[in-house]
Amino acid sequence: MEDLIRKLKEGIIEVLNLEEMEIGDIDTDAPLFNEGLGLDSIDALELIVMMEKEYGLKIDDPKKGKEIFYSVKTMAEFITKK
Amino acid sequence: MFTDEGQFEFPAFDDDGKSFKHLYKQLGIDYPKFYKMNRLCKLVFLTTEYLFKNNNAFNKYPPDEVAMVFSNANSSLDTDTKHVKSITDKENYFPKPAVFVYTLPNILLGEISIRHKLNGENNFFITENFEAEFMAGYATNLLNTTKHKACILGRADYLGDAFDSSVFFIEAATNPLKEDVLTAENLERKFYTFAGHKNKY
Repeated sequence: MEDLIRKLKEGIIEVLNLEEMEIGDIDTDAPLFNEGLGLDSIDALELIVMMEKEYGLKIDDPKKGKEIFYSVKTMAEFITKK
Repeated sequence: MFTDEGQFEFPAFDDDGKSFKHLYKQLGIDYPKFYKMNRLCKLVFLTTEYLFKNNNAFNKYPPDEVAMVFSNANSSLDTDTKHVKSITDKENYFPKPAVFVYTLPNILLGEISIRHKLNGENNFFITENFEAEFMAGYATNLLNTTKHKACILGRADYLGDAFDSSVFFIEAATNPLKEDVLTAENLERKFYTFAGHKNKY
């Protein structure tokens, strides 16, 4: 799980172009949207593409997307369950 | 680093932009959107944050009475180049919305508007050099003929490893135009600036 969380944080920094951010700057449990990293709908698109491209996972139900992308931890849990 | 005239000269740095992060952290503010901005927006964000750090001069005006007028020479070319790289390889074609949204220079005006909740008129001009007379004239006209009582006026550019940002705050009430305070000469002298790296525009 630790490795997956680290990899997810690296992926988020890469796909969202967070040039000056480091893994340590991202709180595993903090909300990714609005608070925390302050991500928005454009970033959500990037994360959905990342899930498909890197983990082969499609998010079909937008309601579930909200839960899955709540935090890095919830993303990792979703990947692990699949 | 800061002079009495409000100038800030960056130390030479080769840390891939981490000085911006350092300056951001020094401000002691919590604004995570900063990390998502392109380098041009980060530069102007920091310049305005330091300019208004101890004196949010525009707070006394309604948000729709503060205008913004900016210019630069290279538009958003720094980010445009990055975007082009992401779509050049047809076999690996992954346009990045997080990059694409910054392929217009006036996005920086939006970022500053969001940060300070301003919604006055804003304009961005592309001119090879800082046309102080034109900028002063434009701001003067805004303050004289529209409802705007103040104007954030700036010049900001970022391309490759060179950047420069100067921001002025002009108030109609405290800088009576009839006394010729808002002149091109004064605009060139009274500024708050970040400048850095190998070349200065």
